[in-house]
Amino acid sequence: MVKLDETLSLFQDLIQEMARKVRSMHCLAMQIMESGDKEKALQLIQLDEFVNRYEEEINDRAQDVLALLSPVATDLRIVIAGIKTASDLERIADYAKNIARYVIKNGPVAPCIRPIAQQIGESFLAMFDHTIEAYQARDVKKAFQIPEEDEVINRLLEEVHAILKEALKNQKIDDSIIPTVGLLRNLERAGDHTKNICEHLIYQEKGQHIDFD
Amino acid sequence: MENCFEIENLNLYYGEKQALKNLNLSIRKNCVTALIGPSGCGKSTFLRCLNRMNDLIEGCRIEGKIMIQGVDIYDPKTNVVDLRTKVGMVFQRPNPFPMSIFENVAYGPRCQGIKDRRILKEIVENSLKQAALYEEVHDRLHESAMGLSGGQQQRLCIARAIAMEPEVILMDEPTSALDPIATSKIEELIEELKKSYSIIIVTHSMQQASRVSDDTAFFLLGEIVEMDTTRMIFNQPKDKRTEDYITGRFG
Ligand SMILES: Nc1ncnc2c1ncn2[C@@H]1O[C@H](COP(=O)(O)OP(=O)(O)O)[C@@H](O)[C@H]1O
Ligand SMILES: [Mg+2]
Repeated sequence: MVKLDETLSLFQDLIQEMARKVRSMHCLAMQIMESGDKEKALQLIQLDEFVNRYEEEINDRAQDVLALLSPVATDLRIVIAGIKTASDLERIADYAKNIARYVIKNGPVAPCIRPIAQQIGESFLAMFDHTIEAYQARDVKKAFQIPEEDEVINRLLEEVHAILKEALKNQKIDDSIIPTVGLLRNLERAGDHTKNICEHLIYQEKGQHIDFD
Repeated sequence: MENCFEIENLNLYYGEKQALKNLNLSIRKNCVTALIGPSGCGKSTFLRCLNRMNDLIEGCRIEGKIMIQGVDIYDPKTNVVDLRTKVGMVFQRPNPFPMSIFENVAYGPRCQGIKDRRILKEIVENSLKQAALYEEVHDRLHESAMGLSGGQQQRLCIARAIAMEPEVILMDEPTSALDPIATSKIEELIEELKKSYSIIIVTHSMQQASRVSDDTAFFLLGEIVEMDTTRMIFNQPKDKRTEDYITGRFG
């Protein structure tokens, strides 16, 4: 059925497009964390609106496919997984927006943790890219491996804790930098939602529910 | 759960041509079993085996066993008339007899020797009620059945089958000549009837199969590729050919 194939392929393209927008928001968030550029932070907050509209569009398309083309089996799961993936992408975008908000309020992250903050950001982006590649290629094996990358982010966050403790003890900084941990938590959460997308992909292809937490 | 049919090593030939190939399956009692597959794959042929309608076709030869209540219906001792009482059939095109609504339903019981007018009336009313037709025709039971709409005629044919107190009702694409509303009435009726009867339905509509049936068998070139609960067939078919067929990518 050419029509169903075409429509599903357009549906998945839309999700890819949304993922690219979300990715660009996180790239911008990383720059802002370092530069403290409030103009750019405001721009980022506006981008979030844009991403929300993508999610609505994806839901509308999903409804069309269900109402008009009656998909079953894997086809049906592509639609269900797509709706869930769009919802996780929307949340991931929110975390970029939170970073922008933080920077507007508190300025850039403290210099002593900038390098590791960048490392966390890059780890997240790599994991996100691998997830979207897996989604594109419908690669279940890859989807199973990606959660390991999340471990890296978690370990880096523990390191941040250690660095901060050390800095406070040596009174190199005051405790106003404590919220930085909260800032970086946004990337941890974004990582969790990225893992969810891997779960949706496995469900889509295998019909199995996996829980990576 | 009990089975109404057990089929073992069933082969069927029309002359030289083999139309059914080594079928082995069980059909559950008080369930709706849908038979799906492309045209010419043997669905109607298989359905006709279940009440020996193929006996009437010249050159048709059957091997294997079809057991109903522990008895092989192809055993020489089986009484075919009794069998067709037990296993009723509804066809693609409604085929009421050119007589009154009442006589259409009373016809079978009359042939079985029931003469008492009061008992016949009871059977007719009951059958029409079970076929969800009584409300619509109770004030014109003695008018010709040919004046009914297509959907009503088909429900009349179901009532006619019910009047014989069957175990099983076979339906060969019973809604393919009906509009969506008449179709949905028949589908609702099927849901109701399965409480009392086992139903085997051939349908070319995937959605109908998924809506009305508990089990589904997918036929291809005279073989059963896959048979499972309808839920499994439409969610996670095991065979690639089944998935291709139900998703409309076949061929
Ligand atoms: N009376 C018959 N004589 C010879 N061949 C037949 C007869 N009825 C059906 N066939 C052949 O048997 C095969 C199965 O037909 P049928 O059971 O009608 O398929 P379906 O109901 O799945 O469309 C087809 O190839 C058909 O041509
Ligand atoms: Mg047929």
